[in-house]
Amino acid sequence: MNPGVKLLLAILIAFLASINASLTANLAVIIGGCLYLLFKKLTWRRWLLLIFLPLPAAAAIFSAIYWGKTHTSLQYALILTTRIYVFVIAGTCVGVHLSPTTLVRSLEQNFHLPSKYAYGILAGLNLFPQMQRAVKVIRAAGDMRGEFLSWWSPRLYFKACVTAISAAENLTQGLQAAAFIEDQPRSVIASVSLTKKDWQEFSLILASFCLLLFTCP
Amino acid sequence: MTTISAHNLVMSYQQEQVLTGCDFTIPDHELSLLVGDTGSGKSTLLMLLAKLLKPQAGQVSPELAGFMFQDPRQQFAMATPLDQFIFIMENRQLTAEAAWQKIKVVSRQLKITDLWRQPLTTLSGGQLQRVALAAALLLERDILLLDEPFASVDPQNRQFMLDLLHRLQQAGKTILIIDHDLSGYEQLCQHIFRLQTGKITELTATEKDALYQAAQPKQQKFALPANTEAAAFALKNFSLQRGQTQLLQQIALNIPSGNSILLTGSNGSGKSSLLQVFSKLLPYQGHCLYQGRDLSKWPRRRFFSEVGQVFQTASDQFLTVSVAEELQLSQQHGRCKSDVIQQMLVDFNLEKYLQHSPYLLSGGQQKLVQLLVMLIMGRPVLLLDEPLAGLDQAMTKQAAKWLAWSQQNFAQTQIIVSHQSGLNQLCRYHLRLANQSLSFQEGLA
Repeated sequence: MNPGVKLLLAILIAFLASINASLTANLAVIIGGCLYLLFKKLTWRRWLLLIFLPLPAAAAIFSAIYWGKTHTSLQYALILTTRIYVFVIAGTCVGVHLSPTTLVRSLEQNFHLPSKYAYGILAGLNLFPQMQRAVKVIRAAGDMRGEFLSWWSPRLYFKACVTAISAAENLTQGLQAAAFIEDQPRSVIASVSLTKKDWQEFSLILASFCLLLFTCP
Repeated sequence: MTTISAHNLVMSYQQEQVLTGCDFTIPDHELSLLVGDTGSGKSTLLMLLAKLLKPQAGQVSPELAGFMFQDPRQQFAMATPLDQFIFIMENRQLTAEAAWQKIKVVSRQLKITDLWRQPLTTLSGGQLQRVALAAALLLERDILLLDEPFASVDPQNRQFMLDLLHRLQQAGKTILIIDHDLSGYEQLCQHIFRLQTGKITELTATEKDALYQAAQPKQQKFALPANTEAAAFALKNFSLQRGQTQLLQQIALNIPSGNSILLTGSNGSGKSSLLQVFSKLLPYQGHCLYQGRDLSKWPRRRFFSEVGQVFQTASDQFLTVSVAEELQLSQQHGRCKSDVIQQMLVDFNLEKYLQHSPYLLSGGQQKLVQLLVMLIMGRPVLLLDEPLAGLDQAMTKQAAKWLAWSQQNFAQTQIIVSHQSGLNQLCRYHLRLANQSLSFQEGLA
């Protein structure tokens, strides 16, 4: 499916799931999403993250609702708990095997996102690996000077900020040197297709979800 | 018209005037060099000519240029070379067909087709510079402005990039290059301009000859280490990968302690990666021992009180907001006395920059501050990754002098990666990385 359409679908499902309470619909998304991720061969590391990362939040919500003062029904507690997984799984389905570059190209080409936002965001995302590397190097640079920086050391974060600021300044010049000019038309070389089939799949999934959401408990 | 010219150009940087009414014209369709002392404002001038900065007064010619940054990482906004090339071609509003054809031609010219889909973060300094030159060429502008385009490039690639630039110049491009290392330019470059105290002058034929003479690399023979020498680092059944690429497979090797060792190898062969292994920044397979003990068994703090590194990117080294604070920080835990530090400051021409932010100094000055703060530490092992980038000949000599002093004074083990010949005299041994293996050699390849 077209990445932009997929993102729109995930946002709509997450939005609808949070305005109406239906355990069946939530479970349908979770099962459907998991099947899709199995089909897409998600790595086992990502599976572990997918299951265990939201667990504290899900457990906290469940205990607060179910054992909390108001004594709500098990059904309601489960709805709120599964909702967390609906959000996470819908997000993972969008992100699986999708590079930020392709998503941004799709948003620019198919959804007319202005290129300055598209490439501003993308260039920012591409700074992430640099920042990760920077933090590691900063710590080593500190160690080598007898200044041991812990994870909560202000100096580490100060330096990380300096690195980020200078990276942002450099980025403007970098974009300019790549002949990028705000609001100027651009051609399409790596095109992302958007077909009728994408919209048919989109409508089918959304309609089935709404049907479950508004008819089943 | 494709002229590069400036009229009455004025620019100051951090309250210091770097250009004081510069007037010049660079000859059309020729390859010219821009030289000048470390920190004289060459990069600032080039960015003004590329319209990446605005001058405080005066004008530059309006033509747009292909530009290559001193730090190649600054060239890229995308994640891979291919994405960057596509981005450039879309900005130029080319059709897919025309764009692909050009991307393929330029990639072949610079031998980077195999790097297309590799994340830029995994490329070596020299590979990045080749990709950055490709990005500048894809703009297809008549003027090329290149800021130290070969600083991390190995000799073979340097020669082949120079030949390519020569062909482009003969095809009608006007090229202006900042470089401190003049080897290989003699036959190609018609004009040398010097930026000094804010003004530009063209060198006379005699001055040019003198510069080229000084740049002649000297033949040198290195010693071979004896088996009995104590090892600083030892590799056993060692292997190292970067992404999917196998960099190094070494059954056994001892790197002797208490000497300076020159580490050479072609671009992307893994020199920087090996230094990063030695400073515990990169994982590896097999065994890498320091002082007979596996690196993984060394407690972090204990290890870094022994081993220091001068990083390839200078700004990675800085932890504070001013040069003075950087020095203070090093002095707290370092082994150099104040009078020695003072002398280094004078020799490196840095006394008047004490209150400046290290991030805003010129590329060469950043290198000097970086070297200074690591020399002060006086660690038993110092790993140096391209410490001479951006340094003029005078500063290269000073750097070599103080490295030699540090080596003798602290019986320091120095492992030096440098594509410039300025530190060769300093090194007793030469370690060559080729065909995924390391060996000591007597000559320079």
